[in-house]
Amino acid sequence: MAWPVGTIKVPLAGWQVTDWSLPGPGIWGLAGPNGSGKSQFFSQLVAWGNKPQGLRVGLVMQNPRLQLTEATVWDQMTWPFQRGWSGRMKPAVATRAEQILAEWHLENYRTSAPWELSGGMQRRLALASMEILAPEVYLLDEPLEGLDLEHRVLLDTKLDQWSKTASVLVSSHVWQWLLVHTEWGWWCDQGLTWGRMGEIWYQHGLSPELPLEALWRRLLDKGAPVTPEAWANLERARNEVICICQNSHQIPSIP
Amino acid sequence: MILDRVVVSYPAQLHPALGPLDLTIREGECVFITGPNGSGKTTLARVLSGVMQLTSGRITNGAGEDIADWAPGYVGWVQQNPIGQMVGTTVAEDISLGPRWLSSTLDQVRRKTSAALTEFRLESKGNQSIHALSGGWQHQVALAAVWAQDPGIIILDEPDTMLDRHGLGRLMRWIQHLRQRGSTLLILGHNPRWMVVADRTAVLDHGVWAHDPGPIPIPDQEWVSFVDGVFGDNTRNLSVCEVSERIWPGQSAR
Amino acid sequence: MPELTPDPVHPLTRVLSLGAGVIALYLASPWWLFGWALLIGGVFTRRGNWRGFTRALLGGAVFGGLQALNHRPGVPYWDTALMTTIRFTLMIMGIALIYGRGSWLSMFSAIEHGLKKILGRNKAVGYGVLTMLLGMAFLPRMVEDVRRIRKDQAMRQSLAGTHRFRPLSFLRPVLVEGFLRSDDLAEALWSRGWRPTALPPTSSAGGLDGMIVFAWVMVIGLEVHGWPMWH
Repeated sequence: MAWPVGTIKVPLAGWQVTDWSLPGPGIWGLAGPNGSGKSQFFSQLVAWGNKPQGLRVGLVMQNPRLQLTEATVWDQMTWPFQRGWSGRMKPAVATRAEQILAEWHLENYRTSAPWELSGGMQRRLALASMEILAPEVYLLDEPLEGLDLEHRVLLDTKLDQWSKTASVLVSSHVWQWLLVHTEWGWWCDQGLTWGRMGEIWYQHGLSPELPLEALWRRLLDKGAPVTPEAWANLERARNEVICICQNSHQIPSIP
Repeated sequence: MILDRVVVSYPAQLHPALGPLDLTIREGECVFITGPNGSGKTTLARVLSGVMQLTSGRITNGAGEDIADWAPGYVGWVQQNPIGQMVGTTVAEDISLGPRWLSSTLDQVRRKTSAALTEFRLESKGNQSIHALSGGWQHQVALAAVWAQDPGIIILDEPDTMLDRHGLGRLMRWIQHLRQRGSTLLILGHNPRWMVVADRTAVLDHGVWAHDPGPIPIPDQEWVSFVDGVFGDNTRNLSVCEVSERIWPGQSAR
Repeated sequence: MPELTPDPVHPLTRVLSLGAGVIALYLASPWWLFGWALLIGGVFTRRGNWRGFTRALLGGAVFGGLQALNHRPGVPYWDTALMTTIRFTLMIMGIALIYGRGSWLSMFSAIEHGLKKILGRNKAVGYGVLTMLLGMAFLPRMVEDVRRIRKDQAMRQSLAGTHRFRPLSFLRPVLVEGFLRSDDLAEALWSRGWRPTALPPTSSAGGLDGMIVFAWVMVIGLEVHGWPMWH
């Protein structure tokens, strides 16, 4: 099921898209050069009047600090659910908040002020405080930034979990990560172009950073039968190449 | 730079945020310091740039001068959140900030600002408001601003944050350039790509050096593993071109 | 760009013009003010800054409305409400014009240079100018922050299905962000070479500066003496 959004204007970057719609549950990529308007596009998507009626959209901004508005980590997690002046809430919300904080390894920081946390912890708190709101559409603007390796793995698990019931739109400059997690998405440069992320990488990815990426670009340039996104996954890349070599009998034995 | 039993504590915290920490960074060396979130990387950057007092210990340079006596602007620090270090309204104005305090004439200020704009290909953006720039461009402006102050030691706190391939390419060229000039570099971050760039890697954990850094993936390891997996053990030194030729011989169609 | 090419006007002349302009506005007759309003408006539109011009006019109109409500009965309207409105509109537009044309950084550096030449390398001067710099960096960001924070809070309430009335909830994050930012900025500026005792270089004044200062002295002097029949 897709969510029709309609026309979105991105004024500072100077472009707009018409008849735009967001696909249903899954992880969708958004890639583009610096300054192409990705962050503004996200911001426009949550603007009043742009999102479809009834659609529950949640944005985690590039700079998480502006989203951490409360005095403690606990309040940050629960304030939208608090009612009345006393701030009462359902016990189920508190249980869920505790569970999510523990999953993001923030359970020991319940009473800490969000602005005292390190950059990576602030990112985790921004993601956790969005998770508890359970949106139908997650907009994640450069979610990897500031996360260490352990928590990047955690984010990967969360993405898989969220994408079963929600649409997750992620932007990132890290191609390898984008290609592993997203199959389809948009290239953002003076507008949005829909396509397979592998194709988008091949067309717009510029100079390769990793040797395997360089090899893949070379093979694609030569017309070899490899899928563009396969390089991002070592196992898949190896299998494709072994398959090619087997077909042309170039390798006597396959390890 | 020599860190001798350096300890830093924040008020109202039981454990020190950093230390006790020993570290010697030789002139012209590039050191990558990594570690989990909250391990003290940014605190280390703040201490080295002289904005935070030590609780105990001592930091000196090769000449034995205490950190308090180092010349202004000697340690350049590119912060994690680039907009956090910008004061000027336009790109050129912000880049001119360091030279303004460190030069004796306006001509020098203009020369350094202009050189930094050119070096980072920001000439066309000189007049733009820094608030109208995307995060990646802001980072690049922050890098250019530190370059303009011509520091002896440069601390890069997660320098690859929000940079696209163009920006990353320029950053790498800049780091190479600085290394050729003999600048001392300290890179703080998570991305394993810096392990290849740096002369050595140190891992911080809870403010002290981790004895066992654990397995950290190096990009080249992935390549070695790929080539070994496809062609066998003795082929790990093959170049990208050679591997490509073995898999699919012929010329590029593009 | 004064950072790259020499500025024909000395930064202190701009600062002086700003102050002298405000004084002259308060001394001048309404007809002169009307003429100046047209002139400044013309400069704005010639530079293609219709948006700034429209905003200034709208601001002036809102202020005029408030003045019309407040003006004292029995006193001629022209003398109280309208004149004050025109003066404030002109002041705002004049400040906007100078803000757009000159570099605040150059102006602050020139002030710091001038004061330190007179008072010696006094730390208090350095800290004073640093505070001014931080203030200039904060103002535009704070407005943007409030907008983003309100948007985020509306989004979260909409997601949670609550409509709790929190009219001042943006204050804490804005203040906290302001404090943190001032820490960050002060730290960054220190590492970028700022020291309270540093003496930033500034350009030397030229003939044009002398002419501008002379013009202001003439304008204010003539206004004070009411010549030629300005009042």
